[in-house]
Amino acid sequence: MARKMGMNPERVVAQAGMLSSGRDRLEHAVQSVEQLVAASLNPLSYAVQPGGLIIAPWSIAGTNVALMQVRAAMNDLNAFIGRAMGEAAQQRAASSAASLHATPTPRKPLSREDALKQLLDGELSQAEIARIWKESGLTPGDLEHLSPQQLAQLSMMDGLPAVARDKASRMLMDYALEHPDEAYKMLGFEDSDTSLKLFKQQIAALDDAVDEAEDRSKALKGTPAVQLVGLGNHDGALVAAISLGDLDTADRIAVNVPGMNSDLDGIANGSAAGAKVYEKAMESNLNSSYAIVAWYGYNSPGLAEVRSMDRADAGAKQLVGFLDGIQDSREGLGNSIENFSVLAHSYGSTTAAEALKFEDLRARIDDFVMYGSAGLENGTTVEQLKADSVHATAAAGDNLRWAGYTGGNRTDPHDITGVKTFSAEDVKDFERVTAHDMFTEDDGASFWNWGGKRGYLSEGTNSLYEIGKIVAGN
Amino acid sequence: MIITHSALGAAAAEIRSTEAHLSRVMEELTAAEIWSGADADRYRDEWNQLIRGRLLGAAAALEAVQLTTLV
Repeated sequence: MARKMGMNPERVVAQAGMLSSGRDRLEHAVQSVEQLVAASLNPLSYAVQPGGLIIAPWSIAGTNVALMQVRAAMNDLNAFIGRAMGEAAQQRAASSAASLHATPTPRKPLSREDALKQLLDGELSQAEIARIWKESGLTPGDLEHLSPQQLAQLSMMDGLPAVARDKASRMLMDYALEHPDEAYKMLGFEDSDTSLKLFKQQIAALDDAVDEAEDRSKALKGTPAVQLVGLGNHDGALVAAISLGDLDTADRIAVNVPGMNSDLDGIANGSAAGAKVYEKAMESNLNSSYAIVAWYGYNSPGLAEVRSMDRADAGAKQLVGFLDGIQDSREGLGNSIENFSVLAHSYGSTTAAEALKFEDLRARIDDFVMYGSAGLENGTTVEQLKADSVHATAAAGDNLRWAGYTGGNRTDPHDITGVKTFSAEDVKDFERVTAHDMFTEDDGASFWNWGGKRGYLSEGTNSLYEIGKIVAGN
Repeated sequence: MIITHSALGAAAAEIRSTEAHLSRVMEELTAAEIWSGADADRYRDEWNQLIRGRLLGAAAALEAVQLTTLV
């Protein structure tokens, strides 16, 4: 047998395994196109009324062509994976007698049904969740038949690949839009501060935010995927996270933590801010892929509570789970993360700092960036924060962040030794940040902000530019 | 499901994103230090013709779909 020069069979097998994990994504894409074909062929069965949009008759073939193509690609992919495996096996057999040694007995494959049952039993570590998802060959399509309760479980299951959380979260969101009263009870909001009226309002706002993010992504380089990676209840607040970019594959990940008074009414704004960070990172380093997460995953404080650490402590636990879950799922999928950043605004920096001080935190954070910080707990040191680099910026025009310091138990990150700082003022050709806001878009001058209201992640600011560079690794 | 420009665009974007992910893995697979030579070249060429071509074709087909108003 001819030796195949230039082959490392172990690494070929490993890469073929990564192609196998990509099969799940392709299968999901096939299902998306199947739904479009069904909708294009039978518009009336979807209750489209006169005046509504249907596919143009001359375009129906387009969706069918797309379906044939993606299905053929799916078949091809299976053949290519088998071919690479076969070539590697031939190489092993030919290269040395050592290849004849017994290899470890592979783990018995878990059926998809058993895997789902194990996931839903709720007794797995995050690393086990990631491993079981991958090894069982589960796909997002396997979640179609699950109950709303089970979808709610998977939506908030840290460690589950983003493609699965996205599927579960979107199905749960659709259920909540159609059956808000039932979803409200099922998610445990009775007897909470979230009224049914507010719940309905915020679910609608989340739906709009996802749609807006998808529209926005089309104008961005790389057309990043939009993923809804969580929808649930934290301390009586409706919480969610939207990723701009594929969290399962992106080279560089940034999780943006909002501050006081942040809730799902504002997640569209947080997602728009994430798009600005994405743009700037792309401009700084085009040869990388990014996922920027708007993490509205904790019950944030109002102005009256901002001096207390209670919301930060509770939110930190949620954030640790989310960060560790991303790392575990990426390791489970075999896709390492090149750079992992935590960005934090206002009280979000108070919360994120507590998360990064957690002893059990496993996620390896490269950069922690605080902007408009409401302060860190007194005594916090750079060494306590589990991040390779810690950065901070604050604007003279930000009149609100000081609310966090009024009790005297907080320290400005600028005063902590080892924190790297950058300007949010009108340095070089940049505009100065004139408000506490995370992000404002084209907001004109007002009595309070005579120069126009401009937040830390608004276009034209040095703070946005510097944060984009940090996320890009420059 | 009601067919919309947004739904079509999202499906096309999903296909393009999947293609980019798969092709990146395939490029690594046929990198010099992992697998090189005539077999690897053929593998890569066929990948580009078949899988990459089909996925990009599918995305383009969805993006070209036009909608009209039901009367």
